[in-house]
Amino acid sequence: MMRAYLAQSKVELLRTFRNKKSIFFTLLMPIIFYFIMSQNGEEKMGGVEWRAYFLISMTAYGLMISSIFNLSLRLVQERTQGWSHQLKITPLPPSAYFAAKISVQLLVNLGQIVVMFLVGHFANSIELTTGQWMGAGFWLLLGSLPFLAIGAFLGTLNKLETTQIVNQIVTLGLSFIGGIFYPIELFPEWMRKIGELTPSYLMASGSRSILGSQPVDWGNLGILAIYALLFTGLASFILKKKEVAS
Amino acid sequence: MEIAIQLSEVTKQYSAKKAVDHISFTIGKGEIVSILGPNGAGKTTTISMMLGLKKPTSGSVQILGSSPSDRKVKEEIGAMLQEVSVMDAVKVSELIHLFRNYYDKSLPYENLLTLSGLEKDAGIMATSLSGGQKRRLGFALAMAGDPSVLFLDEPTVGMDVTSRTAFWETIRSLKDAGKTIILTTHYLEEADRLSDRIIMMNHGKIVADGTPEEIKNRLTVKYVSVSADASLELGVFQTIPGVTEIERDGNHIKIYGDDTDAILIHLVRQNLAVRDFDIHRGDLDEAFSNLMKEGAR
Repeated sequence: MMRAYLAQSKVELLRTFRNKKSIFFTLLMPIIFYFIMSQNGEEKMGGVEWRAYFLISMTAYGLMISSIFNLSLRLVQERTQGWSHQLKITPLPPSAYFAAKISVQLLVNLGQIVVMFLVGHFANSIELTTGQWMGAGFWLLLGSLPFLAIGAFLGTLNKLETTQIVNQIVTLGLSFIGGIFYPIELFPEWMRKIGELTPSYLMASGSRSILGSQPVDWGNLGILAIYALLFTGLASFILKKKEVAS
Repeated sequence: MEIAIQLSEVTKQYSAKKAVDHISFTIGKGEIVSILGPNGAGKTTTISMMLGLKKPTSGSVQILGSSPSDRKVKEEIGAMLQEVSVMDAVKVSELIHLFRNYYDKSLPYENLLTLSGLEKDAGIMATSLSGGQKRRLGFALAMAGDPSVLFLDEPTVGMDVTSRTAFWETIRSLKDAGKTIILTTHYLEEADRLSDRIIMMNHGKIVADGTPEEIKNRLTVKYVSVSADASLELGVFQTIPGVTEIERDGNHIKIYGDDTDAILIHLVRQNLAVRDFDIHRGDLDEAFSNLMKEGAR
């Protein structure tokens, strides 16, 4: 089973790197946005230098897109094209199949964080202690878990085209409301209250607190965990229902 | 006979219609069985239930003594399904390696590549294969775990004549190696030549089950046809033993009976004034279309 899991993971990783479109949208686009928007980088936003603040925003944006799109599109595609039937008659346990997808996406997410941080450090001279870099990166990685769950949830949709559109709406919506494109500190009070509950905000804000050496609200990790469990539960519930219906 | 597959009173009900209606049959180890029938007869649903992809509404399905969803069973079965595409962004060689890793025991990579006939295309993306090539890759993937029970649902769709011939040749050698094979196909002549047994389905029910010979005997007519002058009395044929019916159409006479050889010998011995001897024996196609006519009545 371990062998099957590793083989599956290897193939999933290869597929991710071969997907040029995904690499463009999850890595190149956030980097381009970052350079366009991080002028006047020394100014402070929420107690953090803007160039560091927005680095976290764009990293979070890339993680959100890659977690949701990679996972959901592949799940929908494999189900609608009958591939999941072919897998179901092999001894590969469904748990190993999902574990491979999730762990590979986490590895990809880690890679994205490292690349973005290297860009921030070398191209925009952000200077932080190793502990700060590690802490901020680790928070982002944990914060990407709810988005993997959302990806799995949207992966239960029936059509690839619908999934594409829903993905766009969800990622754009969460980006705006969660203050990814436009700092939440500048929102009107009521919008800010809503925004502070989104997983996108929670993923980025904890990381920014670590960068700015500000107190970290550990309870936010709990809310992120609730999101992750909620969508994982919904996804497996729907998949089970679909199975009974077949 | 050791039992490979057993279906008892299996029914699959979809909201409006019964796709499979109380069917029961047993397939022995080493048998090669074709499930035939028109589109919508319930063949694919039956295979899906045997594979554990669909759950029967009622009744039970057992493969090698266990439930189809049992992991032990999955190690022992392989299948070419209909309407299955291939994974995107993966090379042919990578897919074969991946599937080998799913099984505790697997066939060597080289063997599988030979079975697929894609030796020259191992390095290309699976999605860029032609339809027939994808079917052959699907066959190699079905064989990855060296299964003892093999399911082939319309395996040759999209294959050209050459690869179809080569494919059936491979199936024949698997049969000789003692594999149990369950097959659906539209190529009835091939089913006839290859199968030990044919199960015909229509409207979710089994309408015939037997060796190809039995099915043809039951569902087709045999006759000797001859030409004769109009002056010949039909009475001369009625004395031939085994003749069931005689039909005349101008100079053309059809003498029906199960033992066409005996009828022919008799005609020759009696030195009757007939010519243009021809023996008609129905093939599976005829059995099939007769069966459909029966069903329509």
